[in-house]
Amino acid sequence: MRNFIQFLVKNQIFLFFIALQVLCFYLIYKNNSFHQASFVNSSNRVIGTLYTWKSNITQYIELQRVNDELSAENEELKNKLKGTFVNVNDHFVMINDTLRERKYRYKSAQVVNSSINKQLNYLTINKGQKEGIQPEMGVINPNGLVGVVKDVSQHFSTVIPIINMKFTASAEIERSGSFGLLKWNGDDIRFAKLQDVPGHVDVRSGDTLVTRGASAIYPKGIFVGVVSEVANVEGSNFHDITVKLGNDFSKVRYVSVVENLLKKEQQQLEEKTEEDD
Amino acid sequence: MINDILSNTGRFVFFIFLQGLILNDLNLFDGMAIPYLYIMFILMLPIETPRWLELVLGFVCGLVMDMFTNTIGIHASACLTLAFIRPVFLKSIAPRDGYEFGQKPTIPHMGFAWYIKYAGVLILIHHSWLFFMEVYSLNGFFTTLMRAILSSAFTLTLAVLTQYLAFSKKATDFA
Repeated sequence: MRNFIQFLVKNQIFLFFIALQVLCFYLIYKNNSFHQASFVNSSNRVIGTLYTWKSNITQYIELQRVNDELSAENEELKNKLKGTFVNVNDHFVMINDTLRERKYRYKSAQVVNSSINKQLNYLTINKGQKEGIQPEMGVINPNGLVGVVKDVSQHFSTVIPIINMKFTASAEIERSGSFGLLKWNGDDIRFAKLQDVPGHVDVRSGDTLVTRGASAIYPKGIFVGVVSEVANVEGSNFHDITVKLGNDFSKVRYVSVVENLLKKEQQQLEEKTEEDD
Repeated sequence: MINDILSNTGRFVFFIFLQGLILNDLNLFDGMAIPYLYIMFILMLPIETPRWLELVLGFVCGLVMDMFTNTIGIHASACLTLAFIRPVFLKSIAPRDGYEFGQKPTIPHMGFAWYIKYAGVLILIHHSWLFFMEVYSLNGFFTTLMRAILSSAFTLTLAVLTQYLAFSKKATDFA
């Protein structure tokens, strides 16, 4: 016992050292194993405040670099903007959605030539066979119905607009659902006629006219125009309806060509039904 | 005595702040050489400091540095080792007739060659202990050793510079 005490006294410094060292290892172990905010780390208030002061000073030195970084990032983001891209080719990426089947596909095109002063007016658009345009595809734009594709070349297509006397389309009055034939009488490019609407149907000026979607060319419900005048022709069973067209054909620049992907199927079925009769 | 306490406290604050706010961000050769100049506080403690006090001071100094670097215990352990070895080493490199009273382990008091030997060995011990504790394995032994040696050289250079710049003989005599 006496020897042991003597040993302790003799080696007190070394034992003190060992004790503190054990404490260090305990702290290291505890800090590593629990990863919790212990009372001695830089999240404590004093050191945290010091680091805040430090960053307040050093961030001024960093400003130039941060600026460079930000402008580089800006440049990168600007390059990703849609406006910096020009459509070279409108090949659409098809996503195979098994829940719905796509019926209509739109291709945007630019009107490169148009006439408005003839009875048979035509538009020419800058998309053709190469972009998948085919005859009898519908042509629309945000203002409403434009026309239908007539002929197609490699890179261009001609469009019969509403303001062509050969143009006909089935259109319906949105409010009542009664339909008629949309035709242009060659008179005023702002107005067209809706024919074959029976006299008993309630039509008022201000009614909205939309496509009926019967001919498998246009989707249903594309805006055509607004009824501007309803006249009753004596001795006729039909209304004489004048429609103010949604499109101003002197200003049509951009259009979308509508491809009906189920058109063939619909036409084949209808033909078969007619043959059976 | 009071002067000793004041000057050592001042040095403690100065070196801790210098290390924590500036030197910790400093490194050479992609992090191979990091200066840990704050141990100058321990290296400059009076020669006749009681050993128990030296251990306590070393432990506290390391722990405060740990707070800055979020490495609780590692610096404390290394500084503790340094504080334990320093008196022993001081004794072994003492002049033939011992240290004079009031003599300080600095270049102005002891000369350049003595100081290089003194600081070099102790810094290397501290840094080796520190880096191996930090890595906590013997994998990449030579890389860690290389880091310790390069960092020691860096620290020693700064330590010598500090002696010449900040602590002239007059100032240290007064302190």
